[in-house]
Amino acid sequence: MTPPDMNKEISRLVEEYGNDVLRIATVILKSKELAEDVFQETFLRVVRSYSNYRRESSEKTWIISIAVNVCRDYMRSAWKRRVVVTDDFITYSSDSDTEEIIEKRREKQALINSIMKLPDKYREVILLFYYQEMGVNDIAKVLKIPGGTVKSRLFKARTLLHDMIGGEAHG
Amino acid sequence: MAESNDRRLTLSVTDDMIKETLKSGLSNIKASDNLINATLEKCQAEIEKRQKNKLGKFMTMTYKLGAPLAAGALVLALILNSRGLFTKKMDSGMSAALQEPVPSAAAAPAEVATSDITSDNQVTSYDFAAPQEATESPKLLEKGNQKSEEQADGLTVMRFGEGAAVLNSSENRSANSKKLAPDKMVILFTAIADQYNLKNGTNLSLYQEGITRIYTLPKSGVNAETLQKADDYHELLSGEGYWALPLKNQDGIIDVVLTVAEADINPSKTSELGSGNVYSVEEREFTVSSLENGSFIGSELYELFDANAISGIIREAGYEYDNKAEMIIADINYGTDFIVLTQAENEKLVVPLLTNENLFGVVNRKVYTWPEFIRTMSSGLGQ
Repeated sequence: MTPPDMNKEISRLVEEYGNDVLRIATVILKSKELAEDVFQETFLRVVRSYSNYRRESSEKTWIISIAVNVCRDYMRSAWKRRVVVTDDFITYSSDSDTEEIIEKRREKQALINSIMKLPDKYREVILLFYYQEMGVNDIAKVLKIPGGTVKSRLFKARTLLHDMIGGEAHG
Repeated sequence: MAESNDRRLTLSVTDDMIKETLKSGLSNIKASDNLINATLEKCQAEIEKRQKNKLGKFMTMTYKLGAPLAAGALVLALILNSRGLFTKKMDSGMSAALQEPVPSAAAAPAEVATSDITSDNQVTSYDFAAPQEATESPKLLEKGNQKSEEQADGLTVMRFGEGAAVLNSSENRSANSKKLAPDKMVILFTAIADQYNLKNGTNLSLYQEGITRIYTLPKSGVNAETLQKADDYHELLSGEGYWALPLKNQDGIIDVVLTVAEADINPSKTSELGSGNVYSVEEREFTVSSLENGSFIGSELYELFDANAISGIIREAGYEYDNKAEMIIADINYGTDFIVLTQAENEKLVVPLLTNENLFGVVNRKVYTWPEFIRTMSSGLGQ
């Protein structure tokens, strides 16, 4: 592929998958700033590994896989210790909201907070399964773990969420 | 989507609730135009850099291959011309003169010339086919009738031959017993980087986190037979090595990779190190040379300078990897191709980090078990 064609291709990939990459990174790293770094690094790695991409998996799985790997690299680094949890997910209320809407919003906020408190490995599967709507096999490819492990992590993650929400509701 | 067994929970937290919450919660997060533009700029720079690297590598190889091959062609032309001029003399027994070795820097082409002189076809194919191959494929090592390279006057050159191929490492090396204490290391290497900058008029900075100890193979090299006999990768290493010092430019991109070995006190041994320059730092002497394709390695093989990235590759292959596991990086092709040797889950693993893709059938960045690696590499090496 010529450099101009490659530039076009990267622009397309950024446009198509950029938001997904940023959202995944934000949830995994809990930091908007780090997520932006991951965003850039992910697409740089896409450039570097584009010639090796064999299209054995979908484009989306490939790019998300790179993004998750970059996140993991960041998580292993010292930067993680400086992270402040982002408030990007907070759903703000307005004066015109009804009781019901406010209650729903509270529930969602509680759920989001609980998801963010999950251990990394459970947060990852929840994000890929529910937000990215990826199947177990694709998640297994992205996370490089067996399909059975994906299922057991999903089950455990939901159990944890239930316990956490229940704890908040009744606590 | 969710399999039926994944939907067993009928608790307050339902699948739909999680999905909806994530979808609506994350919809606020969008890449800004600034972020997108900055990313695209970086990607564009990376694409251009890679293109330049490819061209640079191509030009270097063209030069390196072109010079000896041109010399070979000249020798051939002279010999053929001589044969034409002295046909009558050859008839009277002078043909033996053509079998005499030709004193030329291009030893390998000269060998071809003397052995294949009776075949015009072979001569023609040698003249033109080889440079074309170099043009199409700038790989430093080719499968088949390949030979490893050797360092000569700072340049890496091809060596062709008929025998089995041999892996070998850069010649700038010193005993592993000369490893440096981490606190000393940064001071010494920063001074070396400064001296390099002074000498070359550059303004590069030492990427301290990327300083890497590279192990070397025995000077006799490693062939397929040696590989197959080795029970453990430690048996393949020479007990020597060098430090790879990545130097970054002002854009934060690795531009040069220095190889540094502490020079032996014995002057004769120091001189054996050949191509490197001797730098004196704090009354110690180091032979310093730069990897010819350091910039390319800096972008293509960034894992070489990032242990976390290597462990990431291993984890991605499904292994539970302990960051405390021993990780050895060995130079297997004169500073152009490397292998990472380590262990995970009681399995000896090898991860090739190659600038020559599919070197001897070995795939770049693939995680091999030791037996798999031996099998693949031995087969590629010709046994």
